[in-house]
Amino acid sequence: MKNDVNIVVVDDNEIDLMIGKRLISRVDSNITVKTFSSFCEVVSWVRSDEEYFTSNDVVFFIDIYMPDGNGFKLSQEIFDQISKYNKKNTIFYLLSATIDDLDLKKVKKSDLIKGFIGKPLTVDTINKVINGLPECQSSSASS
Amino acid sequence: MIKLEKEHDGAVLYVDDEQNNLNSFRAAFRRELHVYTAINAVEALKQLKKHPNIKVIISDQRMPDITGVEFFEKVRHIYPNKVRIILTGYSDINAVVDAINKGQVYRFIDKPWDTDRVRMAMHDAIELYDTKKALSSKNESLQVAYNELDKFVYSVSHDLRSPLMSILGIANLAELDVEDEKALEYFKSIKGMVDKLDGYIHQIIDHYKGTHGSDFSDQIDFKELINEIIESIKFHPEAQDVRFNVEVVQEGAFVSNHMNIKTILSNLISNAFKYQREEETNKWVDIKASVKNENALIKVIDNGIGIKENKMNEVFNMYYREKVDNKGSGLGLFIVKEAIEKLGGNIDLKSTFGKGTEIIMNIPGKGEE
Repeated sequence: MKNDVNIVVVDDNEIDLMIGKRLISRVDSNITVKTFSSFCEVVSWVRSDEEYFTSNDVVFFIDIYMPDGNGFKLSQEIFDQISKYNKKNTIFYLLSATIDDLDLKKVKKSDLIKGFIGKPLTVDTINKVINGLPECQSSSASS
Repeated sequence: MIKLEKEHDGAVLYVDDEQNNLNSFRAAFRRELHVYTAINAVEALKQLKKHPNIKVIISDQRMPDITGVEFFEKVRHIYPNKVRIILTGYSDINAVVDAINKGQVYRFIDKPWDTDRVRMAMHDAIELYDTKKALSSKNESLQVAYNELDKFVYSVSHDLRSPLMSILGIANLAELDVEDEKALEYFKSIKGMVDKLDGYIHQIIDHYKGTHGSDFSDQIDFKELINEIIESIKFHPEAQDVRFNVEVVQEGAFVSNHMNIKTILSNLISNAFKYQREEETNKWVDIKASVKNENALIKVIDNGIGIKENKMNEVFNMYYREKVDNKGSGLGLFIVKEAIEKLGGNIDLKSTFGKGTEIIMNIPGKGEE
């Protein structure tokens, strides 16, 4: 899925959205990026834009902790909705500044979520994701 | 003389198949206590259900349908907190043994009973009941507080790290977009400070996890763990020209707390490569671990700056820092020492200032249960 990658970034922090958007376009200017700053916004978009999912492969980068809901729940909700569509591939990655092992365990246990990305998003991580490398570990090593 | 207080002391249930005994018990204690009586086990269970304020149950051993011990065996499962006292008219050693094992009886009283002895026994029993109750409610509230603390610690660390990681993200972006050399230098300094602050947050969390975690059943593979730690520091600017030599001989399993062991090793390894002498061209760190008979001997040796002799005793203190530079938080070795003490191990330090440091640790494994 190299040619027509579509990335959707969801984060309540506008600066992180900006960082994501600019880094992604640095990596490959052909990638289209959509950004959303709340849980509800995404859900209503997914409900209304069937066309987007039937014609594109989509990678989601979703923040875990947002004021109106968490990333695990949001991924599930998006997935449930688009399962009704005749969709193409959709992949979910969760992003966070968390260092709680429970969050990482939850990601590992989840069948739906492909990986955890420790903030901040970097060019390296984006490259790994779009080159289809399955594992993305936290970029912040504990010292 | 011991006095019982009707107001505070709750209630006692007396079970006996002879109505006369019930009557005289009631007459003896009704002014001091709430007394309930039952002529048989079925009646007793009804009373227990009806009066949750019953703290102590006194039962006759010899009853026609069921023995006191058998009755207590039943009651113990339904009302484990109520204190049980048995009255026995004959010294039957088997009944006594049974009472202890099956009924878990708190006390025996010879029959016919003497008012003062019964009063004393009930007084003690009520006290035991109250103490147990207070302890378990303390435990419960402690558990609640502990869970809340856990949540608090992780949400604070997340909330502190979130803006910090945004700063790092912007600085990364700036490095890609900006060409001005001075500006790049400033961004590099900003990143350095973000790293330091982030390291500090990680250490506080490690410290917290180290002191609160209580799971000692992790299988530790030292080779894997040490390599994982070295892998994670490989890109650290100060680790670039340092040679890491790892030597692990692990005979058999080592069971311990993974978090504690990792904290110890990663702090020591990062100290070893961070406090090097700049002029040294051949910088190295040796990490040796040998596991035998569920005991780990670990050495971390470097040829770095070493520790002055008069400072040897201070390095394990909280907030001790060798140099007032930007490297350390003053928590590293303090955390190491705490973790080692928690695991029941010991740590020793040999160092020559200007030549290097050797740290030797002995950590016992917890064995498999």
